[in-house]
Amino acid sequence: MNLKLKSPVSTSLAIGVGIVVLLGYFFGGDPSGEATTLGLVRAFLLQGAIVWAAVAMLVGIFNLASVHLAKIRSNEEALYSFILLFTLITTLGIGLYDIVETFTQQEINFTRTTWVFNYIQLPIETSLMAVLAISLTYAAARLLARRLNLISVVFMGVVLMLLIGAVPQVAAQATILAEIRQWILRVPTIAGARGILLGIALGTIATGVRILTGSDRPYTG
Amino acid sequence: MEEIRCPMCGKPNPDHLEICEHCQARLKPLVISSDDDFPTESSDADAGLPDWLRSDQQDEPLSDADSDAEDSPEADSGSDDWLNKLREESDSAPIDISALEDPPASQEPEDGDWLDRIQALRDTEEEPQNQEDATPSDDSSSIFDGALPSWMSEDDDDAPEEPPQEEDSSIFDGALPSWMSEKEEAEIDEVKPHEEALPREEAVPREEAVPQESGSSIPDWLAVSEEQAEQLDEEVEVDASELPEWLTGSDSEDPVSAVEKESPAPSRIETAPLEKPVDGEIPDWLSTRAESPDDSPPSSELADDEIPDWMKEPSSAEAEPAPSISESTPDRDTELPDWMLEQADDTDAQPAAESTEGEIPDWMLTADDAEPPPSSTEESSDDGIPDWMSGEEDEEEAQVSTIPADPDPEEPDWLSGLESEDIEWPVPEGETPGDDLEPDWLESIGDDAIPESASDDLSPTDDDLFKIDRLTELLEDEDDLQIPEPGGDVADGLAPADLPGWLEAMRPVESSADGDSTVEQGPTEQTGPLAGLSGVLMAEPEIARLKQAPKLSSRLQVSETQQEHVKVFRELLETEGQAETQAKPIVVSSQGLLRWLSAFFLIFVIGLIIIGETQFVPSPPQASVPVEVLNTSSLINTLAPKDPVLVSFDFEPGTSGEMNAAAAAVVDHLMLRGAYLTLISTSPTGPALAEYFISTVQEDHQYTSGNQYVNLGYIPGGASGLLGFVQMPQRIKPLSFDGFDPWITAPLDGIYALSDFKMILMITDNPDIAQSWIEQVEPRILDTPLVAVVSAQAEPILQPFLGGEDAQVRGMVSGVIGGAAYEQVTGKDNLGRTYWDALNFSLMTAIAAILIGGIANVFSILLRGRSRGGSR
Repeated sequence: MNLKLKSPVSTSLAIGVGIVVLLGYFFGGDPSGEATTLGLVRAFLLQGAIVWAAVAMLVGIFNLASVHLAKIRSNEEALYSFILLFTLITTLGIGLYDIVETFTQQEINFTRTTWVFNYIQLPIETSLMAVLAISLTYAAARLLARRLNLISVVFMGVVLMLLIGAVPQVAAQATILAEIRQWILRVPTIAGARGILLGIALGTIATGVRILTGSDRPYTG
Repeated sequence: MEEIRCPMCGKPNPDHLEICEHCQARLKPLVISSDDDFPTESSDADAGLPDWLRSDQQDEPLSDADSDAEDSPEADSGSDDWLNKLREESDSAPIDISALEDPPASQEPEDGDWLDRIQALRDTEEEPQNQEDATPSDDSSSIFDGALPSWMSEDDDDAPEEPPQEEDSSIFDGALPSWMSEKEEAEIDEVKPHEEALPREEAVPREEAVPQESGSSIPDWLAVSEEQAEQLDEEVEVDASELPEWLTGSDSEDPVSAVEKESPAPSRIETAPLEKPVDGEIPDWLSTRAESPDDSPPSSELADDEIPDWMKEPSSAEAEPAPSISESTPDRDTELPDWMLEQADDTDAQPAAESTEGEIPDWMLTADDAEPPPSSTEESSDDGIPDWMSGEEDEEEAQVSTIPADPDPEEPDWLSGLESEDIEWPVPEGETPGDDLEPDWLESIGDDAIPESASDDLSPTDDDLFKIDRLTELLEDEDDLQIPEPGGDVADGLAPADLPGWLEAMRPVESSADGDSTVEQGPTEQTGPLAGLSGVLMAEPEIARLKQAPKLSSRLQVSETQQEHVKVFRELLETEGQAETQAKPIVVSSQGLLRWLSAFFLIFVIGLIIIGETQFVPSPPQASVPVEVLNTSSLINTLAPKDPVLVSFDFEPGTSGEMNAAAAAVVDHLMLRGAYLTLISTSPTGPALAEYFISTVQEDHQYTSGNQYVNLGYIPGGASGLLGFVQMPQRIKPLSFDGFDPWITAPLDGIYALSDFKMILMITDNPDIAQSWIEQVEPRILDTPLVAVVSAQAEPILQPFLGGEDAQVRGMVSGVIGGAAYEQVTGKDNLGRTYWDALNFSLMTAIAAILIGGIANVFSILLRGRSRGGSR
């Protein structure tokens, strides 16, 4: 007998867990603050989800390594993949070495891992962010050249107003620009942000309902 | 000038022409009447052969030995006196062939007018010569005057009614019975059209053989009759090409060879006559009669009586096979005697080839029983009778005829079918064809001498077979194929019969030998338990051994050109979906230049200010410090020393410069207040950034892990993990980043929920993470304030959570500007102030780049539009 239990079981499990967590969100604790049974079940499920998420990160790391290993075998951008795998293995080895040394010496010693982070990863990522600043500046300069319309002009005007108003010396000298900037940040920006947040909230509820009703099954792959 | 009408087309031709100029038919027949043309020598074999067989050897040169053998007394010893006499008389009186060539027109009522005209013309042309030749002819007829029996004389009496026939019949006056002469006359007339078709090349040697026959042991009357018949063949010369092949082949070729051509594996019936030795000089039928005193008187007695009974038999025997072989023409009844008509009527109903054992006459069987077959040719040669005519041959052929031919597997169906048909043909009960009319010896000749194959071959010419000379031809053809036995004894004193080359070439020895071996051994079995044995019945029929049909290749036959076309077409299809990579030209565009200029100026300005550590730009004024910054400072100011404060480092290393500058003043304020920092992060790099921040940015405070702060590390699971951490912090993070349990030491030993923390500081550059904190944590922390230090890009998203009494976020510091503002609140410079000048100049540079670039692009567009308009 060949039963296809994958889809029904996974769906029922997802729906059940979702309902329990949702109900535990509302009925997880009594008025005194003590956790109810539903709250305990919810906490158990959440604890398991955290562990599974950590394991999923390890799985993701192995998946990343396998993908780039395949790229090395297929000679497709093998250099970058090789650098990635090399740094991954090196960093993992350094971290494992620090962990082993910490437990063997009973003394916290993550100096090697910290050094790699502080002097390799942090400057690289910060530099990439700095390049982003230059790219954004150039993109803003090219905006009107690529799309010269009202929206672009308005967008560029607002950007210039906010930048100019953010300049402390300009804001100190031209308070009106600072007031305009503050008005823009307080009124239209917050309005737009609220709308985005409300939209995100509604979208999240709809997604939760779809998952609870089984209409959307992202866990089936 | 005289004209000759062509016998074929009837058109007149000049007299000197021999070939019709219209139809190319011969106008003048080839007539050889001179005795000088006759060969004078004959071989030994010729001596032993009948004269009519010797006629076929005229084309071959004769040796002297042959002539000697011909003159040897031994050859003549076997001849009867009457035969010698006849021979001598015939030698002395050469037969006028030309006289025989002119049959009377009245005898040919059924012939066409053209033939009559030809005869008339020839009569007129050759009349003098005929008159000259008539004398010897009369002489020859006088030879038989005293020897002819009465019944022959009666026939002669009837003959004068037909003047030309007198000449012919005069030859037989003394030797042929009357009925025979009459019959011959009728047959000659009837056969003439067919004889006309005989090839001239064949007819001429036969005429030349006539004088030799006189020297042989064959009676002259028979030779004369042959001469007469063959001369009649030449009377009307018709091109041989107009004749059917079977008819021409019967004369030009021996019948057996003709049959062999049709049948690759001759049967025993066919091969039996071939085995006849040539040693006999006298036909066997003569010897048979000589050796059987019961059936026929001795030849010497016959000569005395001059009308031997057996003479009747050969005469009738010569005529007998014809009706039994072929059908008769309607006109022949008028010219045949009654007995022959009856016989013809009987035989017409029978198929042509009736020579099976059922037809063997009684006299033949009797002869076989009475006389054992002679073991050698000596006996027959002694009697001067050829062996093939002897009873031995009769017996052999009777045996052959009685033995059904073994159907050779390779024998054609038509032949085997014909043979089987011959065997199964019904014979009228109580009578054989011609039993009452035909003499026995004639039947024996008909059955023995004429092979079935030959009779079958000649069956269509039934008219021919009514003639004696035609029958003689058949006998000649048969004897031509008689081959001496390889190890046979030579007759007494006779030299071995050395066959001439031409006859040797005609010997079907190989074919007969193969046929015998094939019959004896049979095909070799190829399959089954009898595989390898020969002469067994075939286990598999021929149809079961059919070859398998050739396997046709299912592969498509594609030529090289087509393969090339397929290859090209395949390559075309493969390259159809591939985008062509075009080499980009290296062009230094204004955009690239603008990009490089922007980067250069930004890097140059920021680097210059950072390296110069300039602080000439004034800090923001107190009045411009945002309210949320002031609220944050107020909340921190409410903290007591060692109050647990939860600080989340949820930003990425890339934004660490901004976040460090924004959070440095706030964290510094907390440290100043002596708060116990509990570091947590929902980002994998958060714990490292937190350690970096504490150890680097706030290194002045000398915070140590476990004493002033604790790093709980990373909380996986995103919002779910954050929710679980909110409800059960000790279960979610039981150990610190350093590996110890922070929950058992102060001040975290009293922490059971996040609400137990005095303050929650959220440092993040991601608005989503900030939202998660706000949505998952803020509802559970009760009165614990949630303060946020965010990047400048996340500030607009988090602004809605600020403000009012029920705001989720009590205070917020955003970006470098917020950090610098917070520094203004605390009055202690930090990273905000360090980066303040760089921020100012970098912003001014960026604004300048955007403005300059934008303006340049706008002008370039405008100029481009103008140039397009001008060109139009």
